[in-house]
Amino acid sequence: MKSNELRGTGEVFRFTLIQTIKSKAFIVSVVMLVVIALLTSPVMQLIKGGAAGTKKVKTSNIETAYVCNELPFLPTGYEITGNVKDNEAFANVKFETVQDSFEEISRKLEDEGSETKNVIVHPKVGVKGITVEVVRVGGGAVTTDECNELAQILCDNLDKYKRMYSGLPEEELKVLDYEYTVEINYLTESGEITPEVDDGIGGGQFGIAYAIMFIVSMICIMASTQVATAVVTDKSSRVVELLLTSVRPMALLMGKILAMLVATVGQYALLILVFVLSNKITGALFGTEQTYITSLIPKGVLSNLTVFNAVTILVLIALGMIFYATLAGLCGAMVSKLEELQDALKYFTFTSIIGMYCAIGAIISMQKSASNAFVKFCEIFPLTSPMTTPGARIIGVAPMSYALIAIAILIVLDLLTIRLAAGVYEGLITNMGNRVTPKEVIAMMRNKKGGAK
Amino acid sequence: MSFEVRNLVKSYGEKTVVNGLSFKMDGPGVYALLGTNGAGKTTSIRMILGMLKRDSGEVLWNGAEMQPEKMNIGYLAEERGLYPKYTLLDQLLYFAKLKGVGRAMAMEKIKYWSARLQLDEYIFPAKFAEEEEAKEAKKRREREGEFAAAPAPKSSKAAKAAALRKKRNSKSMRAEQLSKGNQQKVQLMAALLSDPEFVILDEPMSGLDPVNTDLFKEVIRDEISKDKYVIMSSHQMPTIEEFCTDIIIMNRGNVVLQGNLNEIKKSYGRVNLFVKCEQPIDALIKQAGLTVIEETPAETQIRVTGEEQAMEFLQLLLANRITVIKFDLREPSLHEIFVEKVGAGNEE
Repeated sequence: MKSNELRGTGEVFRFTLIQTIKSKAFIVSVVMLVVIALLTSPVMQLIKGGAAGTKKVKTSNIETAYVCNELPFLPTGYEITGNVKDNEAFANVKFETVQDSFEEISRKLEDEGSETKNVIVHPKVGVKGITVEVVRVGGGAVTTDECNELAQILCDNLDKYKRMYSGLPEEELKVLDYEYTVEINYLTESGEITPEVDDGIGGGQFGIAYAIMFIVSMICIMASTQVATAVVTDKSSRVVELLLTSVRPMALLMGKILAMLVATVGQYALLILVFVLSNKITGALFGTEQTYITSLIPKGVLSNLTVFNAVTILVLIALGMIFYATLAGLCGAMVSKLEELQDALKYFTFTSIIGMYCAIGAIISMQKSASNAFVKFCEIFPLTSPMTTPGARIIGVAPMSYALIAIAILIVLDLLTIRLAAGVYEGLITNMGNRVTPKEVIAMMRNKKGGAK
Repeated sequence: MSFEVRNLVKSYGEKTVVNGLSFKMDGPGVYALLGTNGAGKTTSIRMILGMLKRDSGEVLWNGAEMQPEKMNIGYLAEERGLYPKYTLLDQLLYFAKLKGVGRAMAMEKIKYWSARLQLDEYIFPAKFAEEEEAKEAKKRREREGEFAAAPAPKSSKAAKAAALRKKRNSKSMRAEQLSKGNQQKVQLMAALLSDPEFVILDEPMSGLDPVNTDLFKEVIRDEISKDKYVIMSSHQMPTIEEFCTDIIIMNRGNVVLQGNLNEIKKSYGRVNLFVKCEQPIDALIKQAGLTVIEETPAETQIRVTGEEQAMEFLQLLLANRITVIKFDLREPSLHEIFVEKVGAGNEE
């Protein structure tokens, strides 16, 4: 690629980027995405937060807890509320053991009215085991979170009692805590026992890999379609003839590809930023350390995201985007009217669908095994590697060597695709007639090799 | 400096659309490319500008292969084009930057050309509105006297509405909001923003009204006077005759006539006789054995072999006591030469 061919790329890039950002379609889509990103976390927190949230109670509103114990096995004098007051939030709560039946104490609580700050603590034997029921007055000052936290402390106390009741020494109790691990090994022909490794990914890891694949695919498709539209707009508006007196077709194509990629990546980066900020604000507003959204992300899943790894992933994604955008640009170069673009884009659509479906397949099969041949193929295959490998690297199932091989293959493919697209763009730039077929493009490229300038 | 085209050839399959076009400009001037539709003019221009690959031939600037993207070329394409959805100012600044003109200089040039081509209304609507307002106020002052000209106090609501209107109007218009003629003016402006040394105008005046045609002519005349190399393609023969020193007439890709326009005309001789008399002269024309080319109420155009035959005919008129109002012996017009050359080519 001669530097002369790229002269003016910067100007084309700046103009295309600014005009794209200024366009109504872009502004509307950004506003819509930002609103969605802004509202997702608080809305999800409102809908699901109660069940998943671990909202910390600072100072409980509960004044008196009537303890109506129906557990038959507790020895006399064992107070299940013994250490509740150690918890700062419940330090002021008065625990009152009642002898009345649960029905009687319930009526009493009901008589106290909706303004009461008293609750009933009712441990009993249920169908599945022990149930610690905490009853509050509906619509009263005591919240569900407070009752939840109080019940949790009582459950911990009962657990301690269970261990104490067994009468086993501490050392033997540890044996009870041992967890089970299943290991299936096989015997090789040489007689060695070789472990059969289970390297399938978990649900959380799958979610991360799938989300990254989805975002990268969306960016690739959106940016690429815009590149194709921009290429055809130059031709259909006949501006291209004026532009070609100042810049080479290669510079026009590269400027447009880079501008559309930056615009789309910027759009998604803003979306992610707003989403993270909204999630933080939601956490602060709801007084919880972990929102519903963050509770879905497995702990330690981002521990593989070192600087080098992040750079590798970004390079891989960028190269993939350039490949898809150039392919779309090539389709755009084959037509001269906007109404013909959809038809020409079928080659791009077909290729991107293959890439996307293979990537989805690879991520799904990672759940069974992250090292099967199909997954490994998709991690280096240029149509799928930009969508599969970044997620696989983040969750730590793709080796760095695979990422580097994928980058090398994409660099070569990008250069070839850019050359081809620029050649076709240059050859057909003044073609204002009908759509050119791939057969004609191949014939044109062959003639070009043998022809003089 | 010199510009030369040597044996330019372009074929699409079996069809040769430009066949051996060659011409040279040793110095500044205007070279005309003429031809019917599909003669190969635009293809030749695109090959000169490097937009189309040529099958063979050379395009030389100062004896070396011309690299259009490295030169300062102003090009007004036959296929007019602007981005319909972008503002005119944005587009013009972009075109100027691509030519290496800095933003400040570009703005200066845009302002100059905008005023000259009467495009302020579309490119700088706010400035235009202010000027119009000032003009209006001046007229009012003149009409009603100094006291009446004092602006009437506006209510704050009205002032806000006016400010809002002004703000809304301050944005440069989009190309799609302009008429075809005005878009053409913007494109001429885009071609000349960088003050190019080499200008190619492909059908510059097609589709323009007489007022704008005069405006374009004035601009072109100015560019020519700045010692520029200009290549012009047009169907309007009077325009070519007005500006061009050298011509090429193309037909179906082939050059059918080429050279200095005056010399070409001289080589044809003065064979067009335009006569207007008070009495009918049809019988005398027949008697002299002459051919009538065209007869209009204003004059009769007759084909003669030269000055001698024309003088003989004049003597015949006078001998027959015919009152001669007009007797004008001229070289053939470019239009006639064109029709003769291209018509002959098409008949073959």
